[in-house]
Amino acid sequence: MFRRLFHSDLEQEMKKIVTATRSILISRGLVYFFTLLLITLDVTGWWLGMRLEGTALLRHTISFEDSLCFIICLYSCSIPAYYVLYALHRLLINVAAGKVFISENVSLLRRSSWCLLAAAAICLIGVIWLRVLLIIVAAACFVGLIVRIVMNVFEQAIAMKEELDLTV
Amino acid sequence: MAIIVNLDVMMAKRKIGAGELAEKIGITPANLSILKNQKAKAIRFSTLNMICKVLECQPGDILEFVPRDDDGEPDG
Repeated sequence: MFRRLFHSDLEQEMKKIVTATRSILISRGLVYFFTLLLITLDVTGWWLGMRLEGTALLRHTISFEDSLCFIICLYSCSIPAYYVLYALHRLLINVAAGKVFISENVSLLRRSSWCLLAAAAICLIGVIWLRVLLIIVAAACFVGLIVRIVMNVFEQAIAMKEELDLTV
Repeated sequence: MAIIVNLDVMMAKRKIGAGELAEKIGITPANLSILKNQKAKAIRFSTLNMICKVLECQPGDILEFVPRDDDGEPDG
């Protein structure tokens, strides 16, 4: 009876560890997938922008200026996007190594949130020519806000961890 | 912080080493070193209890309050 109880406890513990490791692996896989997607978008960006010219979008025919605006926004937003993906990659490596509440993670999150807001600002300029970009502005702002709040939580958690570490 | 830990004095009086004391109290030598170097932010009553028991002293013998200008600050 006790033996079985012990075994099931151990099994559950093992299952938890395996689930956590797998979860991190899935997250890392997704980060690589999005990096690949971004590279593909960057490689085909020019061709895609030129293809857009002349197509109809929300009762508005896309002109050459519009497609040029799309291309400029795409390439200038790629830079912060690459940084955000790199930050996520670093964050996942740190978390996998058990270094969760460290100041490096906070600065990674802070810079990521600024990158997202910068991308939103770039797209906001593009909105003058291409109204559809407003969706991207809203999405980037919202995600930036969430990342910022997570960063604030991390800051508090680091302070609490330090207090706990210095309790004898 | 205006609270000073005088653990060194008491350890010298009882002629006990840091490693031995840490083992008798049941904390790691690293944590004892944090306490001795005034870096600790808090001390558990259970730890204080064991220190007093091992060193045969009162909490007042190892903890001292010195009035300072930075009083009232939450952290040291």
